[in-house]
Formats: sequence, C-alpha cells, structure tokens
Amino acid sequence: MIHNSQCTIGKPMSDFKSHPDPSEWDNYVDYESTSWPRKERRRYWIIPSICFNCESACGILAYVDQETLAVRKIEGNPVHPGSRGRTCAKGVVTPNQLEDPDRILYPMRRAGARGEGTWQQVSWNEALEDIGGRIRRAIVEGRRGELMYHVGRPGEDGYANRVLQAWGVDGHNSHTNVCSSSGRLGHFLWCGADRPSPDYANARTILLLSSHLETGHYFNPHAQRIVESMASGGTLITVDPRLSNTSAKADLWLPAYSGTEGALLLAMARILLEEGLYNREFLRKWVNWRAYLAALRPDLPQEFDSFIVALKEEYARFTPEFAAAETGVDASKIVEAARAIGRAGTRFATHNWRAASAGNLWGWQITRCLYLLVVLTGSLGEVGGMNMHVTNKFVPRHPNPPPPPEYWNELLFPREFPLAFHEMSFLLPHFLKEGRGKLDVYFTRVYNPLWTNPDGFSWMEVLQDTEKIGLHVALTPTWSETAWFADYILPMGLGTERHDTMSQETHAGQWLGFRQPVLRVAREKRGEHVEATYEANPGEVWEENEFWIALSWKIDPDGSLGIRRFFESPYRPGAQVTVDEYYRWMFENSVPGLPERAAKENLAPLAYMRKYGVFQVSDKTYSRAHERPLTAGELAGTSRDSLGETVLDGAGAAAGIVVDGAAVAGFNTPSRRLEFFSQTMVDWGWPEHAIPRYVPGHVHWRDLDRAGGEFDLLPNFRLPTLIHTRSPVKWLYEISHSNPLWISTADAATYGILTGDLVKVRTRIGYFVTRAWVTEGIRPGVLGMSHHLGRWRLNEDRGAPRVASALVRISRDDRGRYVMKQVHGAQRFESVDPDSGRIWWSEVGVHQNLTFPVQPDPVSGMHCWHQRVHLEKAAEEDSYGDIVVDTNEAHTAYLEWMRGTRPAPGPEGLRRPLWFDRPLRPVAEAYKVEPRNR
Amino acid sequence: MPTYGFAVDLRKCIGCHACTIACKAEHQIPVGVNRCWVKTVEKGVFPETRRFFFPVLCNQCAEAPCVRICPTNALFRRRDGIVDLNGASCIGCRACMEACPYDQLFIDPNTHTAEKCNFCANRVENQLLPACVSVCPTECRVFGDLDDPSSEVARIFQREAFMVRKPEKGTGPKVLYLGAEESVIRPEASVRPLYFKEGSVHLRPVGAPMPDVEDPGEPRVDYDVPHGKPWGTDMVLYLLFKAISTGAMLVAALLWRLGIDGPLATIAGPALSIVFVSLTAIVLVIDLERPERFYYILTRSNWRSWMVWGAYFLTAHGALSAVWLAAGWFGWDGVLDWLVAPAVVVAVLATSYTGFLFAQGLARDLWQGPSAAIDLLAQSAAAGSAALLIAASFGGAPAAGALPVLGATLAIAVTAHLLILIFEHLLAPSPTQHHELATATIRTGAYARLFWGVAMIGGGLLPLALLVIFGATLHPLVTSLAALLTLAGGAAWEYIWVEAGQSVPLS
Repeated sequence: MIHNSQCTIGKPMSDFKSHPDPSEWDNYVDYESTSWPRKERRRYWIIPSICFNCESACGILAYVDQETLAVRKIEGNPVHPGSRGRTCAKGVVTPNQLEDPDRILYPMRRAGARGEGTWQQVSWNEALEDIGGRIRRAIVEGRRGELMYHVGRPGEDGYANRVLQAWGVDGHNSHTNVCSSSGRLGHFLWCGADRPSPDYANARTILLLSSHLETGHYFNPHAQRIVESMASGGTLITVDPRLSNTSAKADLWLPAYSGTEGALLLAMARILLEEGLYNREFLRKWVNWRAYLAALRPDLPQEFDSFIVALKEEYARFTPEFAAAETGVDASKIVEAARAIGRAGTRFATHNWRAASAGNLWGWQITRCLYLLVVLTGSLGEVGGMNMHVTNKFVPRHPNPPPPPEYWNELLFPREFPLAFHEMSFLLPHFLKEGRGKLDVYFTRVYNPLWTNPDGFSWMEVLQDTEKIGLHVALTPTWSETAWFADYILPMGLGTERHDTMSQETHAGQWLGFRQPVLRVAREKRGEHVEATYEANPGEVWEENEFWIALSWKIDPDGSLGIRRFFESPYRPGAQVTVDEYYRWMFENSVPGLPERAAKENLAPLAYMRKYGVFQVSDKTYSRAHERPLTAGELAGTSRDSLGETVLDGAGAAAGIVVDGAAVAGFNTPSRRLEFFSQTMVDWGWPEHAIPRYVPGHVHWRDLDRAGGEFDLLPNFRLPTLIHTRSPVKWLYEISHSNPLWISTADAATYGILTGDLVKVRTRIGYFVTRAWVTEGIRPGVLGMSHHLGRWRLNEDRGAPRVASALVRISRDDRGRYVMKQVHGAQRFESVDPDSGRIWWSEVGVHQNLTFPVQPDPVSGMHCWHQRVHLEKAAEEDSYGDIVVDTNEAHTAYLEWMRGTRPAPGPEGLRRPLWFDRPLRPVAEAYKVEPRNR
Repeated sequence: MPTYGFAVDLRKCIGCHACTIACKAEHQIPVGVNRCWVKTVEKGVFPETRRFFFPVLCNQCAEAPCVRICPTNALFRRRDGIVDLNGASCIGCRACMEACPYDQLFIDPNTHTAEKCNFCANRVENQLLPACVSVCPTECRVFGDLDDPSSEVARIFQREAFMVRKPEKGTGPKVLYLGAEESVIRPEASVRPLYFKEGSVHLRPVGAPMPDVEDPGEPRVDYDVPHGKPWGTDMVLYLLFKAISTGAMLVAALLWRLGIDGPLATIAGPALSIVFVSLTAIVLVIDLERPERFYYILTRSNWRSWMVWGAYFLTAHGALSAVWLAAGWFGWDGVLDWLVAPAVVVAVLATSYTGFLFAQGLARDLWQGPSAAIDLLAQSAAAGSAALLIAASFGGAPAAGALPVLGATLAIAVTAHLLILIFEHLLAPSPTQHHELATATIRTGAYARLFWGVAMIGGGLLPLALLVIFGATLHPLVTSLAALLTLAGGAAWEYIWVEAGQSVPLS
C-alpha cells in the first residue's frame, strides 16, 4: 500500500499530452532533439503496431520519418487499452533491435557441415522451393509426423496454428513446459481455464507468487494496475525467496523456502476458514464439495456444512506455527497476510505463472493451493478479483478454418505425460536419442532451445545430427545459439516489421491488437506498391504471415493436396491470399463492433486497424460465463442427476449445473463446478493428488546437506530489462549485462566469499563458474541467478550479438564431457554504429542452463527449474564462464525422472482427458491410444 | 511564463528503467552516458530487506551552477525555468560537470560537447510531456507548471512532504521526490560495491572513498551511472604551469622592487612567466573537448564564469610579462618601475582566480574551502621562487642578494602553503560528509601516500629543512634541490586537490 491520500494515477497531469493526438498521426511535425535548441522540424508518420519483445502485446507507435523512412523512435500507443500508451524498457528499445549491426538481413543457407558456421545468402524463392518441396514429399509419403514447428513466444494468436492445421500436421511444439505448465495445470484443474486474469486495478489485496512489477506476463500492463491498486490503498503481498523488485515494493514480503509455498498458502486458507473470512455462498454454489465428500469423506453428512468441517480438518495441521517452521516465514506475517486477504473479500487478486510453480516438482499443487484462496474469498469474476484469461483475451476467428489434424504426435505428447500442459518440448532431444521418432523438417521460430532450455548440450547433439533432424529452419530476427545449428536461417521481422494480431488478458477488458510492418505501411502511404513485406523491411527481412502463405503454395502448387485452398483469397477465388485480404476478412467478419466503430470514422475495418493498431472489444469484462442460464436449446435432451443439482447430457456427462433452482452453464470442468476434488486426477493415476495439498518440492531445504555445501539454486528469475534472446541490444545491456550468483551474506561468510569472487556451482551433470553477488536480499540456503544472461557464440564475428555474447570454445575432455571456455567477453568492434566502439562491459553472464538436467514434473510436464547444487570457491585454474557438462549423465537423469511418470492410457483408452485442451487440438479420435499413431 | 517542475513519486517507481531507455531513444544518447537513469540501493537485514529505486534527472536549478560556470553561455536558463544547452557554443571544458552537484552533465562522445536533460524542451514546446514521463508504466513521474496552482506538480510542491537532492547546495532544485529514502537521495549514505547486481561497474572514480563494506544491512548501491572525473592531469599541469608563470613574475617584480636588478628579475623571471603561461594556455586548449572553439571563451563570454575572467587575467598576465621582458631586455628601467604594480596585481589575479573557479565547481565540497585562493598564491610564490632558483643555478652569478631573497620567499611560501594544508585539510572539521570523505582519501585513503610522502614531507618539510639548515651556504646544489623538491611537492598537492576533490560520488 502506498500511504498517500492523494493518488495521482489516472488524473490528467497538466495541459500536456502524453502523445500526439491520433488526428496528427498522419503528418506529425516534431522538433529533432539532436539539433536542439535549433528548431529543426521533421515530418513523421506515426504508425501503430504491437511490441514483439514479450507476450504482453503492448501497443507501440513507430515514428517513421517521411523523408528518410527511418524509424526514429518507438513510443507507447495511447489508444491501446492494455498498455495505455506506456511501455517498458524493452518496448522503447526496439530501434536498437532494428539497427542492430549484428542482425540477420538476408536468408542464408548452410554452406559447410551443420554447426560449422559457413553460410551463403540465398533468395527467398530458393529457400521456399527447397523447404516447400521437402515438406510436400513428407506429406505425400505419409510422414506428416516428421514435420514440426517449434515456437518460443508466439507473439501472435492463431496464425501459425492455422497453417499447421491446413497442412494437417500435428506439429505444434512450444516453450510452455519451460515456462508455465505448472501454473497452467493447477489453474486448469480448478476451473477449466489454464490461466487467470486478475483485476489488479480494483483489488484491495494482491498476493503475488510472481514478480509482475518487473517481469512476466504481462509486466507493463500488470505493473501499471498493481501500482494503481497500491496507490489507492491496496496491500501487496509477495512470496519469493529472493527480494525481487516486486518484493521490494511489497507491504509484506514472505520469503518462504522454495517448494514450501503450498504450506504457506494452506496456512492462509486455514486462517480464512477458522476466522470465518471465507465466502460461504460462493463455495456452496460453485465448488464440487459434494463430489469431494462422497469420495473422501463418506463418514460425514453429505451436506455443505460438512464441507467446511472437512476443509478445516483437512488443513488443520497448517497452523501459522507449522507453516512458519516449514517455510521460514514469521508466523505473525502469515497471519497478517491471511487477514489482509480475508479483509479484501472478493477484491482479492493473485498470480503465480512461473516462480514457485515453475521452479518446483508438484508446482501445480502450489497453484492449486493459491487458487484455493481465490475460491475461498469468492473473488472469481468479481471487480478487483480474478477473471479467467478466456474472458479477457480476445482471439478472432481466422478466415477459412482448416480441420484439425487427424493423428497424434507422440514426440509432442508422449504417453508418459497424459496431463501435460503442454508439449514436452524440452525433452525432444532425449526422445530423438531414444529413437521415438525423427524430424524431416524442423522449424525453430523465434526460439532458442539450445540456450533457453535445460540441458543445452543434448540439444546441440541432436541439432548436429542430420539423421535425427533432416532440415532445420530457423525463423529468427537475430542470431541465436540454436540458429547456428540450422540449415536455413530465415530473417523474420521485429515488432515494426510484420503483421500479426494479438490480444492478452491484461485487465478486466478485452482488446485486439494489430501488428504491422510500418515501413511497408509508410511506403504505401507514399503511394508505392509493395508486393512483399521484405521489399520494405531492412535487407530482405520478411514476415511470417507472407512466408507461410508462400511456402504453403510451394507445398501444394496445384492444390492437389488440399492445402492451397486455405491460402487463397476470400475475395479473389483461386488467387493467393494477400495479408491485406486475410486481415480484411478477419476484421470485417470476426471482431464484434469493429466494423461499426470503423464506419463511424468513415473507415473500413482494416483501415481502422491500420490507423489505430488496436480495437477495444469491451472496456469491462468479468468472468461470469458460469452464471449464464442454459438456453432451452441447450437443455433439450438433458436430464438431472439424482440430487437434481447437475444437468446431464445424453451421454450422462455434466452439461451444466443447477444453482438455487436455475440451470446454468457452470465451468468448463467435467463436473461443471470449481473442482476442489479432481476426479480426473484420481482416474489418471494420481489419487493422492485429488485435492489441493502441500507437497514439498524436489529441492527441499530440510534435505540439503548445508554443511556439505549443498544449496537450492533458484535459476529462473528474470530482469525487467531483458527477455531471453530477443533483447541483446546496447541500451539494455549497458544496464544489465551479467547474472552473478546471489548468495546471502551469512552463507557467503561461511565460505569466505565476497562480492565479485569466482565461485563454482556443481549440478548433477556438470558445473559452471561465475561471480558471487553477496546480498541480504535472498534467503540463506538459497542461491539465485537470473536466466536472462550468458549468451555465447562460436565465431568471432557472428553467431550471437557481439554486444551481448562471449566468444567461447567448446571441446570434449577425456571423459567425453563438454567443456566450454570463454575466449573473451563482449568487446568493442567496428560497425556502422559508433556505439559498437563504446562497449565498456566485458563479462556478459554465464549460461547456467547448460548444466541443468531435464527434470519433468510427472504430471504437468513442467521442467522443475530449481537445482540441488554444490557450491565452492573457484579453484586457481577456473575461469569466469567455465562450463563442464556430461550429456550421458544428463540422459541418465532424464530416464530417472521419466520413471516417476504414470503413463496413459487412462479411462476409455485415452491418451489424455478429452477436456484437456491442446494448443493445436487434433480430432477427438486421435485422443484414443488406438488406432495407432501414424 | 510557466516555471516547469517535476516530481517523482518513489513509492510508485518500480525500477524498470523504461525512463532511461525512452530518454536515450528520444535524444539518441550514446552508450556509456545518460541524461537520466535509475539508481538502485539495497538496504536492511534479511528478511527485512528492501530495494529502493531512485530516478535521477536534471533538477533544472533556479540558481543553476552549471549556467554560472559555463564560460561560453552554452548553458542557459530559459524563461520557463528549463536549463538548456546549446551545443553549438560548447567548447567542452567540462566545468559544468564540476559545477553540477547532481552529476547530470556529461560529454556526448558523438558531438564532444556537454549534454544534459532539458525536460525534453523539444517536446514541451509541442505541448508533449517529457519522454520519461510519457513512458513511465506506473506514472510515478509528474511534470507540469509550478506556477499553475491547479497543476499536480504545484499541488505536490505546496502540500506534500517532498525532498530534493542536496538542498544545502542552494541551487533551488525543481525535481521533487515523494517517499525518498536517505540512502538513495544522499549519495554519501550508501556504500559502493565493485560489482553491481546485474553487471560490472562502469566508472568508479579512482580513490572513491566507499568500498564494498560487507556489513550486512548497510545501504549499498546496486546500480548507478556515476561519471568519471571530468578534470584530470591536464588540470594538474595547468595549475603547476600557471603557478610557475605567475610566481616567476611575482618574484621578479619583488626582486626589482628590492633593487636586485639582475637578469633574474629582468629576463629570467618574465621569460619563465611567458613560457609557462604559454604552456598553461596550450594545456587548457588541448584539454578542451572542442579545442578548435577555444576562442569562444573570449567571443561568447559569460561574465559570471571565473573561467572567463581567468582567460582575461592570463592574457593580461602574458601581455604584461612580455612588456616586462621587453623593458628588461632593452633596459627601460622606468617602464619596469611603472610596471611593478600592474604586473603584481595581474599575477595575483591570474593566480587566485583559480580558487574561485574551483569554488564554482559546486559539486566538489573539497574545493569550497575558504583558503584556496590564498593557498594558490603561496604555491605560486613557492613555484616562482623555485623556478628562479633553478634558473639562477644555470645563469652564472646572479645579482647580489637575489639568492637569499629567493630562498626566503621559497621558505615563507612553502611554510604558508603547509600551514594552510594543515589547518584546512587536517585540523579544520569537515563541513559536510562529502568533504569529510574527500579529505579522508587524502589523510588515510587513496592519496595518503602521495600526500604525506611528497606533498607534506618530501616536497614541503624537506626543502624547508634544507633551506633552514643549509640555506646560508646558498650552494646551488642545495637551492636547486630544495627548489625541485618544492615543485614536486606543489605538483603532488595540485594532483591530490584535483583528484580527491572529484573522488566522491555525486549521485
């Protein structure tokens, strides 16, 4: 809470405007700041777009110089309802990315062996012919399963998925399992939606197991609203063993030992229950308490009051004292936090996403415990409470939707992980090593698995193996460690160089953002005809929208495969669809209210979106779908269960629920209720996890041999200035360029470590050497290290941005282990940008992820990021950035973790519960184990 | 006409650095320098630990010390209170960087002229908020007209408990901070590590008095963008050369006035003065970031800047030395008689103004000492005497009585200089913590060995002892040695004074 009676947020500051008015955007005259105080006037087109640097989809404005067609600067788009004219550092730094002397400007094909680093420039047509032909052969020969599109952060909604669907390929792979699987599963089990949309701005108490004041989805829009709440008296509580910037702003910082968060949250739940601070009516109406009582408490009268009794008994042991002993957080603070939540009532908002749930085995149980607080307060769908993302994220229909794929790709969803959210992306190298399949064409798209994922050397091994991966195509705006091992590097545009639509659940509203290639738009404003976006972008940087259309036509030039028709114009039958036509159709047909709004300004819907870059679908939307009465049509043919509380469809499955006599839709869960008790978990072999419960993580502090130098390494925190591999640019790196190891003062004293000293951190499969940063901002026993730094390259001049990477040499030692040595860090270099000669930092971090084995949670499939490590002072012969890894040991570790899984089939011979969605969902038939995977 | 002001509600600042980058983008600021940035400090013992964020930008001072010291009027105060800079007039003397107590000026490596935040005057004139305000996700930055009672910034100015940076400097800062914590707003209150949370430290002034003290809970800077030392060896040489030049002239005039009219007074003194005043000028011009613009100091003079007065004093001093030399050469004794008074007055001015110039370096508490101008005179007399003593040892038999006079002036001047050092820098209590930190580097810190070994003993007490014990012999070996030691001691002190003064972080 900011103790300030005079909140300034939202008030007009003065006569000054934050941005030029949209009426001026077509011809904005600005004073050039660099020649100030001489008044040199420049004319700009201000063209809106969407930032492409994280998933927040903040609106941006590009100032395109009418004379030079240069993008002078990027600002926030004031019309955008999510970001409201503001951006974070990563948004305004976009011009650095556009003008990065190390960016890739032309399509390139590998010239030597894969990974050797010799490239030759090719034309787009050559690349399309080659790749398209290869994909065609795979499809014709019935090898669709060997095609895979692996995306990091999509930065768009639905376009690429539709392409794969059009090809009939179950080949969508993602980064979700290194990011948010356990955040999603825990949420999904409760309510059938895999993530929340907190209404921070109106919340009275905000509990974050995340660090949304500095990072994460959706940092900038969320930070605005969290601070808004604080400025009007809201209380911010954070749970994090590390003093994040968010925790630094919190009223209460609860630095629980990692993996013990569940105990903390259940202690809060217990206080809400014991002190009567829960929302009785909400629980009674919406929670599947009856199923719980029937399954686990048949001894009690099967009525609502028993549920409360049972809950109290269930969590009786989570007294503040117990939680304090388990988590290390003062009991009084736990009580204070719980009461702040209780006081907030339905104005309680919370989030976790990564952090604890992504860090720990059973992290999805932490999410469930957290959501228990949401349910107890009844804040779901309330002002200042919690929405589901589906309420606030708006994804329009794309034109001409193709049918879903007809088969199941077990490289994505293997049987061991029937409940995974989602594709088991980070296990791919091990799957390929085990011979579970191979890939003929593998697209990595703005994705750097070798660097971002754990166990990068195993990735390097399979990426180098042309038997396992036939053709690797890297679609990327910049160099990456992964692209180095590609056969084609195809440069794709940044936030101002491409078309996409995007929406996110930033607040209790709904909007649709439109990304555009601003230089193309500018040229068209000048009256020029632009055939393909790469003609307008720097070099021949293209955009994926046009690339996929062109590639699909190469795959099916005559339409005989039935693919081409999905890439034909809705307005000119048989002709190749243009991007203009694609979005024209979308904006005219599937964005409610947009055509009318555009007409008010005498604009076509597409012209409206080009002008404003965003459309607000709704300014206030709360998750109330569960209260929607079922229509007569929906009720036709239904029956009621024996208690008359559930609406059953013809097949006997729940189709709705009866609340106080009215048949309503309920939630997208099998019971149509909020599932405190999950029959799915029981049915799929995890009966002990039927309800939210506390299970310590895989690196529990009590198990650590502290005297022997064992620590819990928290390796998954982020910085406000960087995102993984898209932000290695000069202005950000001069602020944040290294990721020293956070170590508490007490621990440092034990080992005689001072800030700046070299330390060696051993993991199960190897070690790394880095510098220590001694702080009071981390719990003793826990080490912290940001995973945003430590970029490297194998060639002096290319392979990763030189401003941000170390030149390394990789060799094998006599035990076959990989040994990475830094030759030098960032250095000055000559380029068109004089700033290249002003690089003053050299150490650019250490790539810790290389030394982590894969640790898949057996249920959610989340990579459990926390590492049990051994810490020691570096020896004489150790140097900064040294990394040693044994990939055989990594594979052994993989096999051990795999042994913890409980494979499909589940009930009815299913690979996955039918109600568990997939990002690209195949036909229902494919959910069955038989017929066999093709 | 409005008066623009700014407020930062630190309670809302989340330390995201968006302002820093928006500023860089708006003004195309090169790598390594900043108009604005966000300093970060960590404080407290686990689990009561906190991190504080502190955005810094130019205060647009009502009494802007940078405007006062700028010799060419490149820095100026607009009618709306914004302190702006016209790069076209800047000669790159870096005096403004010594004047600004807030470390808000820097040299742009592209233009080699000074640069600073101007509240985005280019945007303000278009009725747009400054870039850092427009971008700020949490709206912690407030910009507006302090004279407009309805503006938010005026309301804060009137009603809220705000703080400003270093109010004791009397500059009238117009950036108000709400919710400031001492450890961020006062640069002396936090220790400075050798390594930041997210990377190495760019510029850490040599001799910075606050190392990484591993004392748990003590406020420690996690991120900052302090500037290096704007003035370096060139300024030391300037001080030394100028001391020799003006001192030689002063001592020559003294000899002449005492009737000791040999070539020391008529030729060597003025010749040394001319040579060293020329060297002084050369050093000063070379030291400029834009040396080709050196004459702007005379054509675009800011009469409030002691640097401008200094330029005129030095020019006059050079001219009088030349006339003196001509008169001495041609034996125009009457002219010399007439020249004594003006030559002395001008030499004193050319010596002492530097004390006032350094005092205009308001950022440096060490330079605010009351006796700098007098000490400079003592150093000048010592250096002049020393230079002439050395000259005398080359020039055959000097006029009778010259050597004892030179020996005496040397001894007296050194004594005076040492006494001033002892009183001002060793005995007098420091008026501020900044001053105390600077003097600590001299007494016990990075400069202690040089101070005690050379400035005090080797170049002070030792020559004094030589003169007292062996002075009567007037042996050239003794006088030359004493003279050389004195010059070394003087140079050492000048180095320390320049360096130690700049060793305390300003932000």
